[in-house]
Amino acid sequence: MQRECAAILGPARVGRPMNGHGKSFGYFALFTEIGLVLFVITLGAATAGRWLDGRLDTTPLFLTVGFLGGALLGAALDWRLISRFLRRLDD
Amino acid sequence: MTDGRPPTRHDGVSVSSDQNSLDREVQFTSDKGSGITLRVLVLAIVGLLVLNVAALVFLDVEQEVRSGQVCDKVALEAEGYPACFIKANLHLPRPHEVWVMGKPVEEANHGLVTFEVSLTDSLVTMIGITALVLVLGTIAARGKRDVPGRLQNFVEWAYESLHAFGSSMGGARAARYIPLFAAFFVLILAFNWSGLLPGISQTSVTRAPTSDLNVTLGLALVAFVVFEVEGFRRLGVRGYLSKFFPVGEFRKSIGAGLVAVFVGILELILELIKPVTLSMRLFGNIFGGEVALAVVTGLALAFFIPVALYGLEIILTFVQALIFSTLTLMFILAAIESHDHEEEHMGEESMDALEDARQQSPATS
Repeated sequence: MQRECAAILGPARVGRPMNGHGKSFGYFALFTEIGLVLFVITLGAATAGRWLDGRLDTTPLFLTVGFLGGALLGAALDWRLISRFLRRLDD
Repeated sequence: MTDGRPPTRHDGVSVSSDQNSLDREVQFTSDKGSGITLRVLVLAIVGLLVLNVAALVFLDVEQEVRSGQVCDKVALEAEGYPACFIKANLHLPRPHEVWVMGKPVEEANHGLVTFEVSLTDSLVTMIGITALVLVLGTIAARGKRDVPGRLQNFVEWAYESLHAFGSSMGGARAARYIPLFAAFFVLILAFNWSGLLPGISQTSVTRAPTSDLNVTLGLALVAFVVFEVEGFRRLGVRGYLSKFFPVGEFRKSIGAGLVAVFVGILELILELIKPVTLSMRLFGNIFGGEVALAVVTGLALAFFIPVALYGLEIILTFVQALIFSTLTLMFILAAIESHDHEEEHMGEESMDALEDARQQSPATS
């Protein structure tokens, strides 16, 4: 079993935990979250704007406002996310 | 092992000279080790191909149930080779109901969100995989010995690795949540890898649980409840809510209060969006991978393309399981961090910056 593990993971890994890899992977996981937050917020705000346009017959006013506002809000949320979690990971 | 002579690099596995040491350094040779691995790898690929072909031949009858259409002779003549196979192998994002309690909701009334108490294909697989993981875990934990066997050795190595992984990210504060982190990782990994088993995604009663948004949303909501409960438990109701509604800042000044309220709103949105991003990321990656695999398997009669895709999917699904559990751990640690601690930290950073500026100014002047 150890030999199979060694073949897959390399000699240095077997019998020794993956010390220090958590932090690097934490940065990676955080970067995937940044993109998704921006995407979800922009999409949500643009969809809300489109729905409002349909109700008030103002296409594409609120769609544009929603898209731009969502992108701005998403950027602000990303800034907050990065500043908080990078500091925690750097501690 | 070495007949009394010192271990050499040709002995396969060699243990360091201090046999009593717990920190065993295991090295493997390139000759023997890679020979065995290559044989195992070739056998795994051949086995995968055989199972894949068997699943394609015997389980193809359920194509219509899964994708809503079948690529028979008439459809093949009408649509042509690639389009017909692609359409027939596309999976619907909606899970297939195996059993429905009461009267089923009519097809026309199915919306984006439909409430229906039912047992779906993803739930059946989830229950099966969870039971399997529990049984394996119980077997591994039951036969614990001072000199570990192969299974115990592997389980201990895996848990120690996950423990070190989580601890290096969150330090001592993370230790309490490592079992939860490991449980999420193992369970999601088993869910993800179940979809790669030939046949699982080709029947109408089984499907990778994480390729269903209902399951990933359920997992994300469990994680979300843990963040919130831990936040309230560690900081108290007032302390935790002050992160999102920092009304106390108005006592300092109106300007500081307004800024704090704006940051509080950002924090609240970030908190509420966590289950959405966690579930969407996992669902999107696993569902997309499964569709790609099904289409390529249906299309490629040159079977080595699906095998290459399988290799890629094994790595990607592993990474997704690790991302979900890592973010869960990070969000729990964020929830139990007090607002004051954050402010103190920001204050320290500002003081450091001021100090640096002060030290630099005499030099520049």
